[in-house]
Amino acid sequence: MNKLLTLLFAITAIAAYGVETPASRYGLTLGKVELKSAGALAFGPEGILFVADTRGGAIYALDVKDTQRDTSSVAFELKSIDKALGSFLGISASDVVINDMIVHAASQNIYLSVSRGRSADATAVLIKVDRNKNISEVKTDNILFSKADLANLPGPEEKTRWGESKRAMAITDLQYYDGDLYVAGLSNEEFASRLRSMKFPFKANQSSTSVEVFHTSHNRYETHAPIETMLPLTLNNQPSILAGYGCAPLAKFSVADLKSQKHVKGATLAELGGGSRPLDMITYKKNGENFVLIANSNRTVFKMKVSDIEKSQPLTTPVDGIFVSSGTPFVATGYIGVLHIDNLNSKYIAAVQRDIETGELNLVSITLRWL
Amino acid sequence: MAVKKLRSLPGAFTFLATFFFVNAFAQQPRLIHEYGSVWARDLDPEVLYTFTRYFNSQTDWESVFPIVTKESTNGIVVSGTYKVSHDAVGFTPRFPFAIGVSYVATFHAEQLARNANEVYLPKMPAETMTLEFTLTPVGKVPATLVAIHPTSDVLPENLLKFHLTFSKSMSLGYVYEKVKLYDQQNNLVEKPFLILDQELWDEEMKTVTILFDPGRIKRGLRPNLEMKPALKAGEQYTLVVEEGWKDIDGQLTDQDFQKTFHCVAADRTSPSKNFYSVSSPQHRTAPLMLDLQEPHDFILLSTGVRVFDNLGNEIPGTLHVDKNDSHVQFVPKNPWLESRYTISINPLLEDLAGNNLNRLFDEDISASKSKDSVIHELSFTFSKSFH
Repeated sequence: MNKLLTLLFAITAIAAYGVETPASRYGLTLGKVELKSAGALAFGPEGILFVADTRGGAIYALDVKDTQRDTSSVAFELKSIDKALGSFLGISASDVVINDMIVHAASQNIYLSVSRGRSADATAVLIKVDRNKNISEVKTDNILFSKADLANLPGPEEKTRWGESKRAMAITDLQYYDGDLYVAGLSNEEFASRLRSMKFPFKANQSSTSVEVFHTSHNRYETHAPIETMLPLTLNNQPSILAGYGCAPLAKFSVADLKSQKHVKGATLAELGGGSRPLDMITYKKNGENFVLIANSNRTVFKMKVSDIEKSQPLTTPVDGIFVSSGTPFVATGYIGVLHIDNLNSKYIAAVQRDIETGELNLVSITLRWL
Repeated sequence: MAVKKLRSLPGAFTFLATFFFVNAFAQQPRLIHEYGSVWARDLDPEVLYTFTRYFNSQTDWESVFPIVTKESTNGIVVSGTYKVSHDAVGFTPRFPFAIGVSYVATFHAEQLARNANEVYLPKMPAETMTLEFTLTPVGKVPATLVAIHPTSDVLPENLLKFHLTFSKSMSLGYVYEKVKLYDQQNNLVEKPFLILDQELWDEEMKTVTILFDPGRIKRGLRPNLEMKPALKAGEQYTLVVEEGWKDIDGQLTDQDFQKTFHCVAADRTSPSKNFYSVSSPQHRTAPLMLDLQEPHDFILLSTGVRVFDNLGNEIPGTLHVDKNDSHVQFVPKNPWLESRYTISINPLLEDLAGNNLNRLFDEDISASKSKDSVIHELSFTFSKSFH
């Protein structure tokens, strides 16, 4: 009898509320998304793709409906991705700007945020590259989406909105972690590094918490530089964010601090060596050990053990030369010219890599065997 | 090589068309580019009809009638849609054909015929047709640089930003290549600017902001210790914006632009409303003048001052920045009333070194604490009897 009642209750509940879908769970609605730009990308829950549109002053959550499943662990390569995209988009390869690359974990399809052209009339395009090297456009004219506005959001200190802003914003990275979307960036109006966080699902009149983050250098001056790339990571059982800065400190922030404080001080754990910028970071696991992989503008790809990051103490003394590194130990791997990285499958990492001998821009796989 | 001018096209693009097609029949199939599409015209209607009955998918047409960029090497075709009519097939690209790019359209008529032959039709007498075309810009004046802010020719050695404004929308990818800084001996200053993947342009892409590398400005950071600040007090510098910057029409700027300035000691004081001086309007429609005593960041200043009446309603009007970004005029839309007004100032307003009303750009945390925000307001009373 009890079972029958439960069943009846379940049927009534489904009839009353309908079957739950990602759209209903995350408050997505069907409509047209007009991206003015497509920059940093991040995957959220259930394959929802976040896209930073800095020119449109918004972040979109898109249901890209990628239902393919691929559990294989083979490599993937598409040489001259810039020329391929150039032809697909009908422009010269030099006018193709790949802003970010991310892998859909379940399908292993690769998503690219691309600018078709470099001028004000450039079109933002989201591209999907599947395992058969088919290039297609992720069309957004009829898509399940939700939007969080970034434009003219007053900071926590500002008492008033400042009207028509001439703000040119750069969002350097997006990361989704445990119900929160973290947005790093800077603007031409404000150099101070703000790390915004917003709850997902986005709500109507989405608010974002803006935290001023800085790290101390040699314990004296605050540094408000913008975060170039960041990575949510559990360090010593504490949810943390590892942040890479230009020229090139690596700092950690506690997520608990970010949630509770207005000004958050991070600890600089490593100097990756001046004259370089960290471009992208991921974690991977090999033989039971967790690693962080860092792509870098003027260095080869670095790998660090998470256990070494956990053991690192904040740096208190300056390094004794411009290119010298210190702090958390790392291995400079043999991969160079890597601009974007993401985990592809259990054996490979996907990368957008510039071949330094031929100048070709390639979509490649890096084997974990050597990492 | 045939050169043909399409006067009917908006903008009157010239295109270069190359034909490699020989056909003995009176009505020769041909490839043309017009109105932003490529057409294979005068095809045999019967062959076309039969083909479309059996093979009419996007992939079928991409193999019969591929359009690629000339530089493409991996056979990826231009994204677009095919439309078949009685005796023609048209291709319209997903994105308009771009100026300066060479395209190759190929029509494999023999493939169409072969496919059709497998059904019942005789071979269509055609070989492969190829059309190569390039859109070239005509009759547009290249962009010029119309302003460099700060406009003053005396600048602090911890200067944070330059804003460059062009007469037209510009292209990405040139700023770190074309903007150079030279010292008074005409030596190139190395790595003065912060390189960002995303360039800081306004929405129209006419104004770009360049930041000096903060690592070299902020005291105590390694680049500052090792490389020293890019600018040094007492020296003279020239900022050069080199020619060859592509604008929205695909034209390259055809002249260098430069700004020479003298460098003075670092500015390590926050701007303060205590130094600002207000000149009340002289008559009902006269502007309100605010003298800031020192140059401020142009972008922030041009939106950073607002005026409210004694009931807290915002007064509509326009803000003009002048006198080397150290002075603003607020012109009210409606005449002033005899009343008290409040001027509200954005606390994030910065001087040229990035010090805002609340804090310094590089704060010595051993010496001071970040101050909490305060509201920055000034007030004035407009009274007709005063004037």
